[in-house]
Amino acid sequence: MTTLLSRVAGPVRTVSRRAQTLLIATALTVGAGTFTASAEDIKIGVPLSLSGSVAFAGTKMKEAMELAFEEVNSSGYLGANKLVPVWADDRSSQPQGISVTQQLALRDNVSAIVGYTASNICLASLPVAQELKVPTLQSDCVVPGLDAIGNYVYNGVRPYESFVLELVDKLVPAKQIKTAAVIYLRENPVFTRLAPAITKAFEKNGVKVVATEAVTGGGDADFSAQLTAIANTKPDILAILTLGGQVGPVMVQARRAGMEKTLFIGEQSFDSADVRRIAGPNAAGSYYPSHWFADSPLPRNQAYVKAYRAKYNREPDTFATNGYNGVWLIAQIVKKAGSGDRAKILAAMESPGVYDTVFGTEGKTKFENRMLTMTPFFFTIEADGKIARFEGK
Amino acid sequence: MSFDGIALWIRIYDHTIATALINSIVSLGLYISLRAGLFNLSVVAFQALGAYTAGILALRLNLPTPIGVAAGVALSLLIGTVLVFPILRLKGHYLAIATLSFGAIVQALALNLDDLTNGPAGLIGVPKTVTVWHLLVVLIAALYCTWIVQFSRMGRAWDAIRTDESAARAMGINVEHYRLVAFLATTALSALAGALWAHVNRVIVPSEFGFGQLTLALVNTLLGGISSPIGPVLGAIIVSTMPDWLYKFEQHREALIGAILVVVVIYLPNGLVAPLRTLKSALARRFNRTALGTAGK
Amino acid sequence: MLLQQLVNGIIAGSVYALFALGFNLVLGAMNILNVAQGAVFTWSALVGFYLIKVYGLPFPLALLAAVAAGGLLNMLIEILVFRPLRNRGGSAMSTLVASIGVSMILISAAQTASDAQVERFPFGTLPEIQWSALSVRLTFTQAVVLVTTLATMIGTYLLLHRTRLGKAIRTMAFNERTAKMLGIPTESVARWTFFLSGALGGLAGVLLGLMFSTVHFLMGEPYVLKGFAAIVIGGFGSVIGVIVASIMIGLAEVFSTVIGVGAFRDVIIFGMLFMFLLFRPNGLFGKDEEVRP
Repeated sequence: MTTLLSRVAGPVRTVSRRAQTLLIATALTVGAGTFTASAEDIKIGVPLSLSGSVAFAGTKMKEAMELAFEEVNSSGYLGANKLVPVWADDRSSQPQGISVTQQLALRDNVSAIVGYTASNICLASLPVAQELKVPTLQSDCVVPGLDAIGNYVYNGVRPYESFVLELVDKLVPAKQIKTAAVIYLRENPVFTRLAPAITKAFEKNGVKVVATEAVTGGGDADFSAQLTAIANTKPDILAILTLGGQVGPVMVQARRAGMEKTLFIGEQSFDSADVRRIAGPNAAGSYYPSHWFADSPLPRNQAYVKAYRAKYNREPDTFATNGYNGVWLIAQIVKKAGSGDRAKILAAMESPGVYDTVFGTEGKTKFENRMLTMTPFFFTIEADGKIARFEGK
Repeated sequence: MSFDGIALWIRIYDHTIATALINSIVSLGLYISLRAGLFNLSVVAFQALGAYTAGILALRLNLPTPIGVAAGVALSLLIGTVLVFPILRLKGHYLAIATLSFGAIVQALALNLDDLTNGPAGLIGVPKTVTVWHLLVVLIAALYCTWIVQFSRMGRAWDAIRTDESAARAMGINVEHYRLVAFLATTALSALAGALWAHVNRVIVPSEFGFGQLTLALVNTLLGGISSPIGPVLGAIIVSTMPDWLYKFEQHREALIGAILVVVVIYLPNGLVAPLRTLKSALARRFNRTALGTAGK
Repeated sequence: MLLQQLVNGIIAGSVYALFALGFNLVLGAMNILNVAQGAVFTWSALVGFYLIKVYGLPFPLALLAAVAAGGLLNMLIEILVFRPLRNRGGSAMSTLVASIGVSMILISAAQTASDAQVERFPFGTLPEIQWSALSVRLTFTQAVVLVTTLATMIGTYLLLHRTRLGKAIRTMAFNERTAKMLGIPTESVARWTFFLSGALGGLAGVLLGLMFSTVHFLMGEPYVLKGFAAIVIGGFGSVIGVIVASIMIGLAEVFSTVIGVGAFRDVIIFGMLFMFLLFRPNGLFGKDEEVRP
């Protein structure tokens, strides 16, 4: 208290010394943002869920993103400039997501933000990034509505709903499906939205939805009650809309409950080595869409998969790839902008352009209404655990 | 630090500070129950009720913030009163389990009553009308009231009940009455914190009103100790700002909080405030307001 | 289908029973509500998983080891946390809070150890046989779970009522001072109580992980509150009560799905718990004494 008082009433030179320091600090910060000619560290904020309930996805994203940052810097992609990641953990919690967004924007003065792991964190944090006018590229949230947040928020993935619905349209005639059932995770907004959407899609295709069951929590492991009830209705296909860690057990328990021939359909969470590992032969007959697959012959993708395998000794999954792709997208945008200045980066994002990507088979993509264009691919898991492309036969 | 520097600092940490202040209010509420010997773990449930009420009224009916907040507190007090009579005769573990299960019910209802609460997606877009300054004012007011009550007859009755209930009864203290008041005070503060939270965070989801939040409230309150109302506030501020000065240990935050809880409970049962307490009593004696001083009324 | 759901409910309930029995032991004998039981449950499952997956131990051996690990872990918690707390005059509240702290530490450690991934016991840990009769399907694993839980429940009952240790535990549950006066070595009995409780929780963990093909660091969470529910509804202190209540909870969960309110199963269970606390805090089989703290 007393020190504050003396500071206000104290000698003029104390005040001006403080002002000087602040002025220099501001100059350096602003300078760092506009300096382009010589080697510059461009800070990129990377908020991810590194602990808590979505940590299983966030940690994978971080690994792949680390790889990407290394590649960008060591290849000299931005000339003498380097991209410096500023990692932040939102702990799978929204208030923390908001806090770290504020800190990245104001304290660390990042030039741009790339990241976010879970949809509900995106919902809370992206409006804050918009308010603070930080160019943001969210890389992993698939809940609809994120394109409407504001001009600073861009999306490196798009909502999965349309892909899943497209898959339904293909599967129903190909497999002559008459009845369907849905099991979905209540706790997650992505799935509670997808459940009625997929139900409508089934009905539109003339399929009767005979059972819909809810799984209450992301930590639940006992699905026997729901699956027994579903098995009783003998559906041709079961939509499994749960987190990745639950998909495998659901498949195992579903087969056990009597649904030996039932097909499974799901979304992004089906695409993981974990699912195949846990479900084993029970996963045969699963269908899912993905915007990326490890076997894509795209040279960029093959290089990425090889590098990931070499560094981490396991297969990359979609979460990891979303993160990796996000970093490379930002790198391309920064290159286009020519500097680490936020306004220039925003202008680069807004101007039309084609970007390289590891998604899909064409390797090129662009932003449409602030969302990355993506082509869905459809896959099925076969009896021997291998993944095959599903073309609609 | 110049005022500009402070202003910038507040802008950066705005949300962290707001979270710390909200947690302080909740901890203060928990403190009151603990002082009265009530093992009341329903703070998070009422936080949820307050938050959802304020949020729903603001989003659906466009009501101004003060009305939403007041409604949140009023509804919680109503539900608290209805629940209170039967519960309060439970003791210790049973009361803890009862309040815990009440919390689980509220959380499950928030998750499933889609039409009302928007289910797991939660309420999005609650107007951000509450600032750090508002919260500061509310906290100071709450602290002041708690302080006054603590040194009043009510506070002493609570102390007596907490120490030995049968003895308190024998002394003629109306135990039921005082427990009721303590419970409702906790309810009101929790609901207030929750309602304000809705307007600070803009997003309210069911998953943030669970066991994790409850353990946080416990840590906050116990770290500071229940010997003085400053305790829970201090504890809340320390823990809420912890991620920012514990950067490297982020990933082990849960373990760290758990360890703090264990250590504090065993070795610092009066929390951090205890050693400061002697200093306070010395100061209090100076200003003629000791714990003994008011007994003469 | 109803018969199958009945079986589902009984199986789920018997696993809850194992868990709740562990809870009940410690609560009865030491008046400690040990929230960390959930973490012990998780760690035993993890230990069992690692022993089988990485070291290739045969199942019965791994099971025994995991159970023992659970017991030891719980005992360690007693020595490091609860005993010092009691010696310093900890109240019921502070022990509950301390157990929450321990739980947080253990779960965080489990997250680090398992890298936040979901695992499953390797295929073939138990033979993948399934029997089918009267429209009811039962797998070998489920049968093993049923038999084990039944045996354990009987074993626990016999232990508590026919052995010296059991009598000592029950005397301590009744009144610790009396137990001391009767010359019972309360400290050592306390340790054994914790060991048993941890072993029961550990057994539940491994069986559950096996049955539902899931082992991950958050697996214990839902069981803690259900364990509370079982103790309250069954009647604090009564082994039979806890078992019956656990099965009731398992059945209630399953039948809430059957009648179509599956999403509200938690509300139903905790609503039940709440009702019991309001109207019959002694539970179904609890003694009609004063409400125990």
